[in-house]
Amino acid sequence: MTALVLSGVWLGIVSTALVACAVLERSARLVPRPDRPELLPLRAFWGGALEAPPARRLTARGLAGFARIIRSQSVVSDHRPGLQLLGRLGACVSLAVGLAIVPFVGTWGGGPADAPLLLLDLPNGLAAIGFLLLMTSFCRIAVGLSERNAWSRLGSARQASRSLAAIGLLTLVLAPLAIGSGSLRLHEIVLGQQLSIAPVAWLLETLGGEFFEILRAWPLPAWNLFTQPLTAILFVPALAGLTRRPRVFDAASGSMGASGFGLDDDPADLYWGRLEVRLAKVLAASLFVSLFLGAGAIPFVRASAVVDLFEPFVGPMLPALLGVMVQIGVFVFKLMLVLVLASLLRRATATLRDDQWIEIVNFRLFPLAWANLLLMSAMSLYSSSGGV
Amino acid sequence: MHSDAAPMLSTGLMAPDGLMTPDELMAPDGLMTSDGLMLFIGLAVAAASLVPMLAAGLRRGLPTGRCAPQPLEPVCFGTSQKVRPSPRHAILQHRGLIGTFFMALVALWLFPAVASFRALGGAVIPAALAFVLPTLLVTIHARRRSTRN
Repeated sequence: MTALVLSGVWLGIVSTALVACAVLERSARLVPRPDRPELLPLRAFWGGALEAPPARRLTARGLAGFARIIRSQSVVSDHRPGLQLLGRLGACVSLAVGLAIVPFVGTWGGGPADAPLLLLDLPNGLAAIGFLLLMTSFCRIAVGLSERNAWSRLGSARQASRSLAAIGLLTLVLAPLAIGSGSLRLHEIVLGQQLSIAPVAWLLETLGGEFFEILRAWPLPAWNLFTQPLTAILFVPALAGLTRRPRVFDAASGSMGASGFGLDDDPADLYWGRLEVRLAKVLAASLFVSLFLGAGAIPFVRASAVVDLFEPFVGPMLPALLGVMVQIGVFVFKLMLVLVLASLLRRATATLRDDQWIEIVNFRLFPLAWANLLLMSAMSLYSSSGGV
Repeated sequence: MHSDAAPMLSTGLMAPDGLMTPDELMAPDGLMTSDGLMLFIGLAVAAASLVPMLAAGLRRGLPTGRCAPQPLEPVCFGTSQKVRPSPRHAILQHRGLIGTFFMALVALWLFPAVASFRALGGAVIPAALAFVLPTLLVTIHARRRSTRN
C-alpha cells in the first residue's frame, strides 16, 4: 500500500514537472525582446486577432497536438519501426528507473534512523544513475540508427560523442560525492545534508568584532552545493551532455538543426521524443535537488523535531504524515526552482556545436574535475587522519 | 551484518574479515525494492501511453479513408551545395568520437571502483591515488614530449 501511494505521489510530481518543462520551453521561445525585434520567432505574431486564433493557452495547444496525433499516421519507407520502438521504450524505461531511485521524501518520522521512504533503494545508487543514463544514450543512438538517412546517422554520431564525453565527466564528478559522504547510496547522501555547517569557522573564531559574531551565528545548511560547490557546478554540464538529445527540431529554442533525429517524425513520434527529452530534464533536475540541495530538507529545521513537538498531543501518525507532506512540498518547490534556473541558463548561453562542446569538456572540464577529485580525496585523507 | 566466521565467496574462497560478500554487495538495504519499482514503472508507462492509445482508439472511430496510414517517401534535400555538410564536419565528428572513446575509458573504472569502495571504504582512496597519480604524470610528460617533437 505504501509503495502504491509513493508511486502515485512521485508520478504526480513528475507529471507536474513535465508540464512545467513544456510551459518553460514555450515561454523561453516567446520571451519578449523589445530591443531586438528581429530575433522574435514568427509564431509570436500569431494570435490576438479574429482571423488568427490565439495559441498561447496551454490547454488549447495540448488539444491541437492531440488532434494532430489522431489525424495523421505516417509510414516512412526507410524507417525500421522495430528498432525505433525498442529505442524509445528502452530510453523511457531507463529514465523511469532512474526517477524511481531518486530519494524525494526522506524518512517516515524525520529522524536519520527512521525507515526511508523510497521506491527503489540501491546500495550503489550513484553508479546505477551513471549506468541508466548511459543506457538511455544507447537507446537514443538506436532511435537515430533506425532512420536510414545520412542526417539521422550524423545525429547518432553526435549523440555517441556527447554521451561518451559526458559519462566520463559524470564519473569524475560523482566520485567526490561518494568520497564526501562515504557511500554510494543516494539515501545516505541525502541524510548527510540534513545538518548545518559553519564555513571557515576556524577563521571566524580567531577574529573578533560584532560582524564576525553575526557570521558565526549564521551557519549554512550542509548541502553539497555549499560543501562541494565545484562538484555542483561541474554536475550541470555533465548532466546537460547526457540528457540533451540531438533532435532536428529543438523545442527549447524553436530552431531547426542540420542533422539529428526526427526528420520524418509524425506528431505521435514528436510526442514520444518530447516526452523523453522532458523526462531526462526532470531526472536531471531532481538528481540535482537530491544530491546538492538536500532533497526535501528545510534549512535549519529538523523534521524529527517537528514530529516530536506534536507527538504528545495527536500521536505519532499524524505528525509523521505532516512531516512527509512538508518535505514533499519543499522538494517540489526546489525542483521547480531548478527547472526555472535551468531554463534561464539555457536561454542565456549559446548553443555550441558538438565539436566545440567536446573540446570544452576534454580540455577544460576534465582537468577541473580531476583537480576537484584530488582536492576532495586530499581533504578526506586529512580529516580521516585526524587533521581536523 | 557480519558473522564471526569468515563468509564463503561464490568462488569458493573465504572472504577476509570485515569484507562484504558479493551477495551483501548486491543486496539492497531499503524497505521497498521491486514492488515500488514495478509499480512506478507500470504507472509511468500507462500514463505515458494513455495519449497515443486514446488517439489510436479515436482514430479507429474515424471513417476508413481517413484513418489509413499514409505511406511517405523520406525527406530529401536534393543536391544543392547549401545543404551539403562541409568536409570539415566529418573530420570533426570522427575526431570527437575517437577522442571521447578514450575519455570514456575513465568511466569503465567506475565498476571496479564501486566494488572496491563498498568493500574497503575510505581506505581505497590512497590506493587509487597511488595508481592514478603516476599514470597521470607519465601521460602528461609523454604528451609534452610528443608535442615538442
